[in-house]
Amino acid sequence: MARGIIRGFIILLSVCCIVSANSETINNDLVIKNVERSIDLQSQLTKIVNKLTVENTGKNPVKSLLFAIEQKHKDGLSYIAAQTRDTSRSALKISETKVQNHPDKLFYKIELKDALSPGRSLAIEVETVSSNELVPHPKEITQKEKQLVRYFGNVYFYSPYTVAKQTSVITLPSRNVENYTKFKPVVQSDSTITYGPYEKVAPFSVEDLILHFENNNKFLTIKKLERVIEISHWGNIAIEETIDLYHTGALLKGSFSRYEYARESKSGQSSVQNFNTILPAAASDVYYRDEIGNISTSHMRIRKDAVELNLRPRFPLFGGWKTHYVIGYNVPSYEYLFNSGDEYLLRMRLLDHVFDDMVVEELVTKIILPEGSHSVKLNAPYSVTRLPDTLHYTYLDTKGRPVITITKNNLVENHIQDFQLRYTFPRLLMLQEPLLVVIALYLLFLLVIVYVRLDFSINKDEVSESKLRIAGRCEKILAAQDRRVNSYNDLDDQLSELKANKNTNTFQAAVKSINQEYKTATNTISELSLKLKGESGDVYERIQELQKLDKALKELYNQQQALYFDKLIPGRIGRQPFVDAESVIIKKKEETVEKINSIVKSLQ
Amino acid sequence: MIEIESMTRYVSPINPAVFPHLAVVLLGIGIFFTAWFFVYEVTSTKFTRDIFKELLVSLVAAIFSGFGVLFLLLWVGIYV
Amino acid sequence: MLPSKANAPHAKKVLFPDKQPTNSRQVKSSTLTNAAGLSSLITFTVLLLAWISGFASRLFAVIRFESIIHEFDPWFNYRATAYMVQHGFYNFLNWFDERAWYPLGRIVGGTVYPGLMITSGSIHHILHSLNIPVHIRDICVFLAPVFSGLTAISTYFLTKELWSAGAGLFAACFIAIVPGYISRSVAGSYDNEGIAIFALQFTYYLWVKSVKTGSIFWAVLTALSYFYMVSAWGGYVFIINLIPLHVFALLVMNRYSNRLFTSYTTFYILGLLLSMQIPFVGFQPIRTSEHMAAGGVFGLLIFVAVFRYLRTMLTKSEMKYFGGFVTLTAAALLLILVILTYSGLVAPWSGRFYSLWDTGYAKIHIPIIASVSEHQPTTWFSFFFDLHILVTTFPVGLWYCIKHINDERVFVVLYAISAVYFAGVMVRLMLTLTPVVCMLAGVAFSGLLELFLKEEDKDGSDREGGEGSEEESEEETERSSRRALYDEAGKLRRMKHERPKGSGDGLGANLRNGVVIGISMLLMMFTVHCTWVTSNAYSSPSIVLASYSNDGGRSILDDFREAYYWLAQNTPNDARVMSWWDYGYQIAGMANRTTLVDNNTWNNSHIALVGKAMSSNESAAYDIMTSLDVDYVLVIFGGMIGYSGDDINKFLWMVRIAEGEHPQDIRESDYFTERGEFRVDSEGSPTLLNSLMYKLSYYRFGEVKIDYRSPAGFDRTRNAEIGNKNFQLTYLDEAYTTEHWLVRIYRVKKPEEFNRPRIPIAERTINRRTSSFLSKKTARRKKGLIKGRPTVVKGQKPQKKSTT
Repeated sequence: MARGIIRGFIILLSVCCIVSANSETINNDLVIKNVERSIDLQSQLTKIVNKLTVENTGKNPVKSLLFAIEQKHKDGLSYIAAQTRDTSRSALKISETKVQNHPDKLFYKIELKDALSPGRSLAIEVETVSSNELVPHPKEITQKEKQLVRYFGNVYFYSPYTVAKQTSVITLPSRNVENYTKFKPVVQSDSTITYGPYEKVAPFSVEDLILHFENNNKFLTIKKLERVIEISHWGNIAIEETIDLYHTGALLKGSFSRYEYARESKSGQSSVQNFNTILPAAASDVYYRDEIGNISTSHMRIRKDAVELNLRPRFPLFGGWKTHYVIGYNVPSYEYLFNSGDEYLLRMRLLDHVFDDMVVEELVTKIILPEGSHSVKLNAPYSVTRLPDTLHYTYLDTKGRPVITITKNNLVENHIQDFQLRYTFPRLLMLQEPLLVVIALYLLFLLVIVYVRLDFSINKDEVSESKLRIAGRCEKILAAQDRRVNSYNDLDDQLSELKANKNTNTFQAAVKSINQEYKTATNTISELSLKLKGESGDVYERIQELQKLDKALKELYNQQQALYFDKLIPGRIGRQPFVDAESVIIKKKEETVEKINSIVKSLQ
Repeated sequence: MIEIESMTRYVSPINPAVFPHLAVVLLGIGIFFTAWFFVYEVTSTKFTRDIFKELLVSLVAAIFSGFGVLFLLLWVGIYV
Repeated sequence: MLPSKANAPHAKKVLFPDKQPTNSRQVKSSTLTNAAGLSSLITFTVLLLAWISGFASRLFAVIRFESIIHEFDPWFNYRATAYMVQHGFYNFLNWFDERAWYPLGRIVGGTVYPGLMITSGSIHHILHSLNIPVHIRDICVFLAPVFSGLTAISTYFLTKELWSAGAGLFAACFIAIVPGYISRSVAGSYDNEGIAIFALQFTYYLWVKSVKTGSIFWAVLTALSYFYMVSAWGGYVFIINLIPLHVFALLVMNRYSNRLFTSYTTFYILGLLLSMQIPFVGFQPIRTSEHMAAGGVFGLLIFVAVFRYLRTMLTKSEMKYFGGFVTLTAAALLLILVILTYSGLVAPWSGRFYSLWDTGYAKIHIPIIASVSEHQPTTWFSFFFDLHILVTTFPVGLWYCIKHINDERVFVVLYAISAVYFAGVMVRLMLTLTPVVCMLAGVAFSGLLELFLKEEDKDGSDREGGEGSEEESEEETERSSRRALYDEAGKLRRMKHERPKGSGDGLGANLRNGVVIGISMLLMMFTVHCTWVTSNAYSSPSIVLASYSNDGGRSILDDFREAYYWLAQNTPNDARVMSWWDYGYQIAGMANRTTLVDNNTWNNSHIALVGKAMSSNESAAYDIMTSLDVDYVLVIFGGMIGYSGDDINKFLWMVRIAEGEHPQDIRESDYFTERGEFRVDSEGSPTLLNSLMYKLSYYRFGEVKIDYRSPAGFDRTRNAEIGNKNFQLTYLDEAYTTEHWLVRIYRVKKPEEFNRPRIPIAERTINRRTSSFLSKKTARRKKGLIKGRPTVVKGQKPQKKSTT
């Protein structure tokens, strides 16, 4: 099924290519003078590095050359790159193309930096990485057995051009080779097998190469990797990867014995007990879990340039077993996010490391931008499919955050490259979230304010109602009385100051405002008391009493003031008479205050 | 289009290191005003209530608590 | 909640003016110092703190381990909730779960109290509609701690109604941290009890309120709250029997009032109708004996009301006839009830109900109930363990209540007495006792502190005590203002200790301080005890085990999840897993595989069939397993690490339950040695040593040497070298064994997969029935021997909902 989808995808891609580019022809002027091919089969991947020396034997300069992939290797091909072999080792542009008369093969066009002039030669290097080319044989093994795999390849370098001379070096994980194609000249030494040199090989020649050897390395495939990158402009980028892991090595035959697995080191060699995942150095708050909770068996080591995570699935993975987990972490935004005004640029890895020599069958990367971002432009490092944008709702969202979704199939470690995503985000929108909370809370308070004003009772309780009303009036009167008290206190302060400084002007000015306040307070009280008159005669009377006393008190203050003004400041009074007069006034004041206090107490 | 070289690295407008302090201080003030508001609601009667005072106190309470809640969220790792 | 407004000016404190000789100032009044505001602020703060501390002390497991569902039953509740959230409420009600009780299946919607799922489902719904993406698992994990806060608040209200606000605050603080309640409401313990205790307390509060006011409004609220309780927990039967008992007691005490009539009739009719809306309850309220008392009291109350009414109209001689008529009618009704019961229209008491009266009943008739550890009678130790000082102070509160009896205190007295009885019968019912103990202990402490904190001047009292007395006096005034509404029962309300005459209570300051310090010490010790118990006994998720090495390092044994996740990932989606019923819910919840039996033990014979398969030899078991389409068999084996709650230790219950249904095939006596012992070593009975459970537990264990001192195949749980080593399995295949051998999963071979071993005729030995000898002992005496054998290893939390 998955394979079918991949095939369909490739066909789709090729169709696109046909539309976009005209089909090429093979330029027979080009001859490959020398090929050094090294095939690395140590892991589950087939990594081939072809070192070519190309010569232009024709008359015209050549701008590009072709690189062919056999029909049977078409599906597994995951990554291809070309570069020059001079000191600069600069990468060359490589793109898929169609060639006339060879519809069954897969061709890549390598565009040279400078045209290759006639007679000159050029050294380039083409690297390919393929997955799923090592087939376990036998398909099923018991726990004790070691895992044997077969590789089907080509003894020759598969080329659209004539190859003058070629050698292939195959590196294997161990010296245990069951069988290999003995196509002379061939040499096996330790864990490498060298084919060649072969001379003068015609274009597209194929000589089957079959290798059958032991490979106990991790045969793990990530069936689906969902990588979610969530950007917060409060300074954080959260990354979460959901991984479906599948052991694609030889299936486990028969029973799994924990006893043997624990006691015998040779038991279960092809199984995977743990692997290392390398996270960015700034990663923090790492979690590793699945649907039923934390996976408690993991270790984190913080290195200088990375965080290394030793992950152990809940159970060792044998051939055919699978597991599923989620790993997530936070990184600070300044590592990957750049801005200039309201323009933002996110530069991050499209795919990150899961384990060495990994194979990802399907990658889905989702980038969740802050709410209100727009004008999104994606710049991917290699061709990817961008799915329609969606919206994501999380904490304090109203209209949803835009989600950019990217998908690609069949990826390997070489695909760990940065993408760039530009978007515009008005900075003021950051205030939206706190304001949302503020508004929500304020609505809550308003609800309370409204609620206390509602009255559901069917019959009115007149008595308590009027009691309440009187109490409310009293409270207001008392508040006015408080103001009056304040004015008295101020007056006291002013008087004592006057006594010390004898400065009449400042006193006059201060007393004016104090008196103003006093007057308004007194007026309020008398107004309120009038309203009370109808409701409670008793309280009204007490307030009248209060007013009377207050008047008396005010009078006393006036007397005191007059004493200071008329006698003390001009110096018309001797010390002793002044003290006597003052103490009389103060005593009277105290008496009045006592009475006022008792009334106030009764009003409370 | 601006090149990446001319852009600056983006940092949060508020240093994440002060999130806890901000959360505690703002929430503290917010809770104080909330308490004031509710005590006022409980103690005042139909005849003594002052709508402006209520609205003002609750507005202050809402603003401080609102920002406090936001920084609390950020502190505990919910990056909104 | 709001203190009555009428008396607000009354309670205002007077601030005396400072009397400086030179500058006398006048009085000012301020809002914040007024007592109504202060006391409501304090009440609010105390309740909030009770909520927070109750919530926090339930988080041990989350902090030590993670946010995970615990134990067994919570896994089913979680799974059902997740199903409801995913598929919607109506699909949940119609959910036929084909993954349980294979091949029978289970109609989940009709066999579950949906209140729990609806509660967390609606919380989930509300949060998600506010774009707060909290996972349903986290809601389930934290539901019980959150509800414990609500329980504290409703306990406050109930106690406030019964006694005083001060006692209410005490009770709220107690219930927030008392271990007896925490045991069922720690974070992750997602079970019905977690929300049901809140519903229980709240219903009682509303009931007391409605009896006090006689208002239809409160009675309707009581019925609604009762409806919620019915939807949440089977323990609603406690309410529907206690409230009628209360009414009955009031009638007997000649405390009939119109308030009582209004509230009970409203509550009963509405409650009856509402409770029948729960599919699982259905027509039970009118068809089972458990609910008949409520109906009877309803009738009685109406008779009394009619009687009272008629008495105002009829003469004495006419009344006589009427009395005879009443007696006749009552007798006729009772007769009808008996006839209905016999004819089967009204179901007689259920077995579980009988076991409440006769503790030995379950052991004889229903071994599956007796096998559950939480259905055992309570020990004195666990009373103290779960309630600490409350268990000693609550009789004081009870005495206070009896001393100052009134309508609602009759209720709490009945509540206390019945709860104490039920808690004595079953460990599990400790839970219903806890709230009433907290309330009465709150009353006791409040009374004590009121007496001993009363200073000469009223203002200088301590916060709690002062608060209590303040609220008290407030309430007193409130009551007196409404006195017109009360009947004569209210006259007893004034409490003796409440108004000590000045300082004339003859208590010296030293004595006071001593007592207050003593009480504070007690309360402090209570807090320490609660925290200790919560931390050590009730905070283990039991699916993740932690072991501590000598240097204090902690290692986590995550074998259960390892195995369940292996099942989830690496077996076919429709694989059927056979295990003992204890693990059914966990397998369904974590591995999402079909199980044969689970913790919903509704079908005894199916469980017995599984028990029979486990107790028979391999080939007999194979026949059962093929007939049940079993693909995998899962056993728990603790012999490697010394885990005591494993299947071998539960094995005898499997045998007993199997024997109950298949006495001709399984005999318990076959599994004992001649001396009547249950041993797994070479002296063990051959039937045991060849049973499927034994073989699955010990397969290849005979080769394991744990350390150099013990022999190979040494079982650390039972401290014995196993008796049957080096055997092979013919019909099963080891599929997976976890790292510490705790869970072992076997695959049942298909018939074509195994070759029956061909043995030459000469080498064949004929297996005779090995237990052909007959023991002198009777089966009964042997049983006694086994029961005496302690199987619980110390340091292990008692298994909840699992066989001992």
